[in-house]
Amino acid sequence: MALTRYSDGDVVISTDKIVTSTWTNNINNLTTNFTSSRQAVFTSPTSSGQFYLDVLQELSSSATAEIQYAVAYGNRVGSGSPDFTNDTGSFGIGASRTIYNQYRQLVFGDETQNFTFSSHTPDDIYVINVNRSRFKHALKPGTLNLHISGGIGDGTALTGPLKLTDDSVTATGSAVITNLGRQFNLVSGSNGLTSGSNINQRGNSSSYGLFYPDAGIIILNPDNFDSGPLIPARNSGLSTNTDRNHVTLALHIKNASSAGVGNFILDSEEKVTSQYYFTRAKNNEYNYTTNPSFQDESGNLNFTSMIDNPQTYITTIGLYNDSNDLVAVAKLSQPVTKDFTKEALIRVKLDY
Amino acid sequence: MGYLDNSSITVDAILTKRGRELLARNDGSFKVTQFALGDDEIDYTLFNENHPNGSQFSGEAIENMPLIEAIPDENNIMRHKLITMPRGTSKLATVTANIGKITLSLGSTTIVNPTTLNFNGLNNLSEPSGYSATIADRRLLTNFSGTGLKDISNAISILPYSGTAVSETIIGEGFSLTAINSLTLFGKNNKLITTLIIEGRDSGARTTIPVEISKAVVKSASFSGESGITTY
Repeated sequence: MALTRYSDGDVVISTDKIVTSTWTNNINNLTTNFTSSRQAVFTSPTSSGQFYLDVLQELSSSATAEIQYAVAYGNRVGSGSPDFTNDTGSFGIGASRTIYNQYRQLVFGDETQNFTFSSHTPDDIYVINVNRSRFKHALKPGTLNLHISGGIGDGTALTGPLKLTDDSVTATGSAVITNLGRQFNLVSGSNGLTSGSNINQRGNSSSYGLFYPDAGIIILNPDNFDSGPLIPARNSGLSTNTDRNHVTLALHIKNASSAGVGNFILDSEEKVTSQYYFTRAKNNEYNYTTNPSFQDESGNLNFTSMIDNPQTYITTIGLYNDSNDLVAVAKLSQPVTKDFTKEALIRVKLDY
Repeated sequence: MGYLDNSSITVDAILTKRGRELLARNDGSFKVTQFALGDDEIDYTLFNENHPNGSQFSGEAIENMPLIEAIPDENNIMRHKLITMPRGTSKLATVTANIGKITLSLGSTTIVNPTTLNFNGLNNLSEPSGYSATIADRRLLTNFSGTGLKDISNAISILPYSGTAVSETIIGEGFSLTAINSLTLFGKNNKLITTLIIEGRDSGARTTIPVEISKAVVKSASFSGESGITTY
């Protein structure tokens, strides 16, 4: 007999949450930001660069460069980007309107609601969309530390970068549930803690944005940048519009700490389900082997001392289904001795 | 005060190629229900009964051996299984077959009948639960089926397309193998080679038989009593 069936208590399922940095190579702080000239194309109103800008951690010519996140700008009346067709009946329909409607549909599920930050409803939004392969199952609330250089609202001159985080720690994890999962406010502060006691940090009327960790999306309130270079240009339509507000945002993230040095810390989390198989070899089991070096061609044991006290060595555990298919296998780091006086308990972990 | 017993060992398992295939089917066939222990890599000739330090050190060379990582090919791992036998057993079961090497021409068929020696009083007889047979490259056979037992399992009749070798395991008292009747897989080769692994379902003993498909063309049998006539 070579196969033993697992009984009910031998198989245990466990789900564990694994947290890692979001960025390539597990870098904690993404300080370098590059764009690709192949993607950042603005030659026509429908070019990809008009809609979004991919940001990479290295020069796009590098073999190890990977997209970390994308930035986009949306405007509900179509300002800030060229119209797709600059003619009567099609004015105001361009990349910025497409982006606004796209995210509105994702978050609210209908075409009538607008993005409202506390009680303030701007015409437009900035979007930071973290690449799916980077954030795994979800971004981890309370780990966001995004710095953006430039001016902020209320006419106050900014002496340093604006330091944004989500309010998940301040709100003790309490979130609004939307079509995109949990929604937290984006506030001035760090590590999920709001600076001060009010999330409405611009004239007591609006937050800096919204954070959707389950979808990997950050939406910024552009009206909070109303006195600096990040004020969106809101020129209407025309085929020659070169506002490109998302390019400006990317530059201000890139240069947050100093020229070419940004500060973007964000962790992601993944749930890994493991199945544990408690594999037991009792004292009277598995003391002989079909290994050809254990016996001669006629089946006689090669060692006389093995007849009364056989000794085998476990190196491999094979997991089988009912059809005797070998579906998974595990190896030990060193052979485990097995004889009639020993029992072995091996916990085999299989991740999904 | 002593150290805690660390007899519980944790190891990480990997899916075999067959496991991935069954998982992808999503039909419940992946479910792990049983286990076997193996001693792949162990060469028992390293067991030194005459060790100068005494019998406690007989297994010194084996016990200190570092092991390689698991490989995902189910045909090349768990080749040697540990088995449960009564204490005092002096002879172990061995599986033999009526054919030492299978050579098939295009479209021809052969039957393999394994028997077991030294198992519960069996001598050159079939095991009660039969045998499992695994062909390493199922693409080389048009028919691969078990014979002789009520609970035989036959290979699937329609093969999924595969650019690489895919193994298949069936159960039976004997096994029928029919070679492919097309030249597609040969390329510039005159023969294709694979292996058939037969394992006793009761004893755990196994034997490996080489299988060779030659490029010889077969005409359809046109008269009674003959099949697989080859022309060169």
